[in-house]
Amino acid sequence: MQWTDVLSFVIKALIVAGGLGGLGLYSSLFERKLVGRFQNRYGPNRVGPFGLLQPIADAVKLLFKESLKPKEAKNPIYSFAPILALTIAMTAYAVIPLGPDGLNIFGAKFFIADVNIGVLYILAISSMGVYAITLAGWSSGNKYSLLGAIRASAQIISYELALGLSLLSVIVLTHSLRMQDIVAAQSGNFWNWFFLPAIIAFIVYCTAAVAETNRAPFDLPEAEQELVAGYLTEYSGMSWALFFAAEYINMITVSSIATTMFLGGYQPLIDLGWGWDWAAPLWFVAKVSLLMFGFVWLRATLPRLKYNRLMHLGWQVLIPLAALNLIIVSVVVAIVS
Amino acid sequence: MIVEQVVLIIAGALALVSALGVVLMPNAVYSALMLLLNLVSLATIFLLLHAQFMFAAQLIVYAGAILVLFLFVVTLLNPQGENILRDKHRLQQGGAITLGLVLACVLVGGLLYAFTSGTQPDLATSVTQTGSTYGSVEAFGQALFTQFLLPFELTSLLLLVALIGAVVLGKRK
Repeated sequence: MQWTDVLSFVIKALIVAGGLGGLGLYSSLFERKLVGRFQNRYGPNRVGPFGLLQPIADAVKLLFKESLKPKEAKNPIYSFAPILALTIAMTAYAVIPLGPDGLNIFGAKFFIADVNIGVLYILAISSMGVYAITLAGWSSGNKYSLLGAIRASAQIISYELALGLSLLSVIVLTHSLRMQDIVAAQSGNFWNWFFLPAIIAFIVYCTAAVAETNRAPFDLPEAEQELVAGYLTEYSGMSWALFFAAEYINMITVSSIATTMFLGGYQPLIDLGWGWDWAAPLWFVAKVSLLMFGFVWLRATLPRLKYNRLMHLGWQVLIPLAALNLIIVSVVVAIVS
Repeated sequence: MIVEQVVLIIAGALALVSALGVVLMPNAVYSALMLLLNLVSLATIFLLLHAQFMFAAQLIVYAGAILVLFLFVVTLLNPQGENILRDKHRLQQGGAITLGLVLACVLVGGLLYAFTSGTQPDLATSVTQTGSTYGSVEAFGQALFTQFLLPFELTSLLLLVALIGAVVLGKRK
């Protein structure tokens, strides 16, 4: 590897990080607009045409807000936790392919890194996300924050197992951990996508992904009625905004992983033949948007679970289901091949 | 090769400093964080040695699960915590220092033997020449389920016993 390669990686990483930051901002508008519609109102529509400048106004407001720090806060960690949250949320994106190997703009391909262990890398990075929350809760020096953090870490560790098991089914189907191979194995029409042979795994993944991102109906770590705002209670201004952005970027990331693993990645719905390669990133964005819509839909529809139900669902329903699916897929693959 | 060397030096230095930090930090939470830094640095070194599976396993198992549990317990049980590690257990400290020195001697001796006997693998060439399958998940899985099958199965038995033990302890009122 040469220094020029490093430079190209850095430039790509900056573009992806900037893009994710912007998308994270605008997914907040996406969510507020949609939740507004679900609740029979307009949602934000005052700033700019159709409220399109609302996220920018919010970001500017948060930038100029004072970042308060409680007296009890343990400082290096208290300031570091939001940065860690955002970094980890963005890092998983390094291996997600937005376009096929052949497609490029000025020689730059539509992914940062094409590694042999793509799926393991994603699992490794997503298992680090819990640190930001635990540290934020602990360093705030507040009981509600600590309780929220403990809930969050217990929840994330529990659902990570189901998440990993559900992804294993796809690995068994493709015999590869490379993201490009997994997408290529789903080429052709939409009935080749893995959400059909691994339908149970797909459902388990989606459920576990909602829990991993601490979104409703699994948003117990920030349950307002019981915990004020959980681990976010003491954060304000820009450090709060970083957590907020991290949550939305996490949503985008888990949706992208689901798209890549189960929904054919950048492959079109039906095979359009040659000449349509340039549309691959657009297909990817469309699929991710669909899953993001699902996230918002869930939030607008379902009430929050009780904590014991949450643990019951994770350990006694999702993990056995994912294991069962893995066994079925393995047996079928062994018989066919 | 120069990029890999720079990364290796940084990761190695971080691993050493953070290992010292684990022992010397006054607060148990900071010790746990130093251990996290140490595990991540080691994972980086595994990756540089083309041990891709070890890299992922290090992060998923140690950093992502075991250390989270440490941190979980420490943050929950250690609200005032500054002094909990400052308890003087003379015997324990002496024993730790002695055993640490013994281990260091064994390690240095092993390294010296490897370097003087002339059979040491040249890291730079072995990593570039052995190709991409060395240390990959496929190679690792093959070795695990053929050559090292017995230790692997015994380990699973050990984990099962630990699991049952935990359930028994948890159920006892």
